[in-house]
Amino acid sequence: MHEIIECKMKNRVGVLNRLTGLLTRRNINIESALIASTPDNQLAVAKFRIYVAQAQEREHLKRVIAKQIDVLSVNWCTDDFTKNSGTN
Amino acid sequence: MLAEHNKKDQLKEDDLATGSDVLLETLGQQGVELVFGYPGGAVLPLYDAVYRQSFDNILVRHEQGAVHAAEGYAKATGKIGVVFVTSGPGATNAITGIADAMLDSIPLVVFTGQVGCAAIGKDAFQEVDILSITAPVTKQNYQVHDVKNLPKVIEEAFAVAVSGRSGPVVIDLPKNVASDSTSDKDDGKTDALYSIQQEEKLDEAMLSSIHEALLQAKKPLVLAGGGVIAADAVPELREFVHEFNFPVVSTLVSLGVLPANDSLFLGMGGMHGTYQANMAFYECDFLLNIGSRFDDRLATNAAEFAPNARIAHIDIDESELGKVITTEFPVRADARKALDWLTSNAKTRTRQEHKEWLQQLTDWRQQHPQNYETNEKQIKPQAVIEEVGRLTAGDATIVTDVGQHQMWAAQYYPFKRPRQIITSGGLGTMGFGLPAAIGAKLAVPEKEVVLFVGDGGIQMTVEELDVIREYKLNIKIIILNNKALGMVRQWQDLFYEKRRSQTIFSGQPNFIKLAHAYGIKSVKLSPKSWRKTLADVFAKNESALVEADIPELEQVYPMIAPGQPNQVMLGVD
Repeated sequence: MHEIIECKMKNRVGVLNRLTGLLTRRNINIESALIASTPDNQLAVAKFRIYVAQAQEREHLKRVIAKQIDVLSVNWCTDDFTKNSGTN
Repeated sequence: MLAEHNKKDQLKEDDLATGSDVLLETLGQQGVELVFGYPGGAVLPLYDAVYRQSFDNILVRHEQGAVHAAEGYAKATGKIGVVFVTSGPGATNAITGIADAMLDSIPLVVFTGQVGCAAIGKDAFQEVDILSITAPVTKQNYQVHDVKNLPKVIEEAFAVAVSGRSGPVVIDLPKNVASDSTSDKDDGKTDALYSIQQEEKLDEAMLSSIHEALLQAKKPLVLAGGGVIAADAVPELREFVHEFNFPVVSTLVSLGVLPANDSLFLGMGGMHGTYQANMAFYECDFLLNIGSRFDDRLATNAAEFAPNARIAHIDIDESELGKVITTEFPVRADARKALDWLTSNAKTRTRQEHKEWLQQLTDWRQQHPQNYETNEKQIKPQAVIEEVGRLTAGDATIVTDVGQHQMWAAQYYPFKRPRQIITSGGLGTMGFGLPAAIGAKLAVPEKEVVLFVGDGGIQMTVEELDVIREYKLNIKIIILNNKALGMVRQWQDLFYEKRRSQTIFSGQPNFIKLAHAYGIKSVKLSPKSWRKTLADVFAKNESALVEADIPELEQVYPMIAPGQPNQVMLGVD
């Protein structure tokens, strides 16, 4: 199903490259993306709307993103941008 | 042979230390004794500091060799292996080794030279975007733009390499940063954000459930993977399994986790594992996996793996839990802490005998022992490995390349201690063996180091023989020569109707003369007297290259065909 994954991460060069690389490797297309830094520029939040077929893949993807050194947290959201209740 | 690092007095007092000097100083603070490297244009400032500070750099003959040697060093000791390579081709030549370290969770810090900051992105001479190239095969990578950040970045890289699940880290060092003066060194405020994720608290409730289930199990089985070695948890594992009488299967990279002659040890599991190990996977009613990632060479058919078992999985890396096998009891934890907990929190010390189960395992072992046909007219590779086992009393550090010889070494060498096998498990990198043996010998010189290598793999990194000559390393190199890419040929014979496409060498270099050209003594074994020749080789405290012509069509058995479940083995009597 189409879902939104939200990643909070350090705002440094290359971090997005690592994240999108993890999606590319799994042949997951990014259908839309929203990325913004925090006012102090220390952190950034990225939301990707993607399609993940299986529940097992969904959990694994979350965990491989979460273990990136620069990633602080990962949450699946609903596929509706208007709802932002992060869930695990 | 290790020089002292603290020779900064060689610098004139009015010299300003450069970024490179700071780099070496920081490495010294991290306890680095030597690096493996190869110079080039972008690392001229770094190698100038190496020269001025008499820093120990093992000069390899190809950058791939530098990384594999650092892997061998790290695998043999648990310390972080450090590599210096130049920009562009120097860095891309290092990629195979970095990927190998990523898949086998080997801690490395690899410094790649880079063109000066002003030239980056302008297709400068020997410029590549190494950050993008290495992103998928590193735990983390950095490019340093300001010399004042250098110490903090190095400290972070060293912490990252060994935190949680170990792995390789790349630091890309632009040439100007390496040569910049550090007169305005670290003002205490750096851009590097230093925060390694803290280990979570042990999931004691889940461990308790595992313990309960284990005690109820009639046919318990422990799968001990590389994570047990990486966590230095071998004493804890041995205590745990002996306390509760649990039989143990190892993976390729965790051989030695129990001694080969331990009655609870079933051997290596998986594609070329022992009969009893693979049958145990099939029959067990509780499987406790500690630190193995259920690789497809182990769990050859994930859907049908351990079909009768409740499965527990303890791993330091949460992303491994449920990745391949759905587990009822997932625990993210350091293997040593989990094992300590499981042993010390036992509610009952009543030793479970599991008599029938252990008898079944013994019967399987006796009914289908690991064996091979002997033939006095030929030198059998399995016999060579067994003989080396006897000559070295099962205590040598065994380094392998990749292919049939690797599997025979895993099957027939009597491993007895952790960090004893150094092999490319995940990536399966031909060419790994020779440089890795160099790293292993430099790391633990008091141990005999034996390299088993095929006639294909040795040709991929053969240039590193010159390093063995230069540093007078006592490494026994044993080429098991079947004049073919034997493992690929084996698959062609079994699954491609013997169409041996591009796997039979029509000609080969004379390996005996080749060794001679590199100043290394060499000998070819003859079927009549090979045991005595081998004994003579091992009686001497010097390197030697030994070539054994083995039967060209020898196969590795048992074998599970790809996709088949573990209990379906070919080549079992």
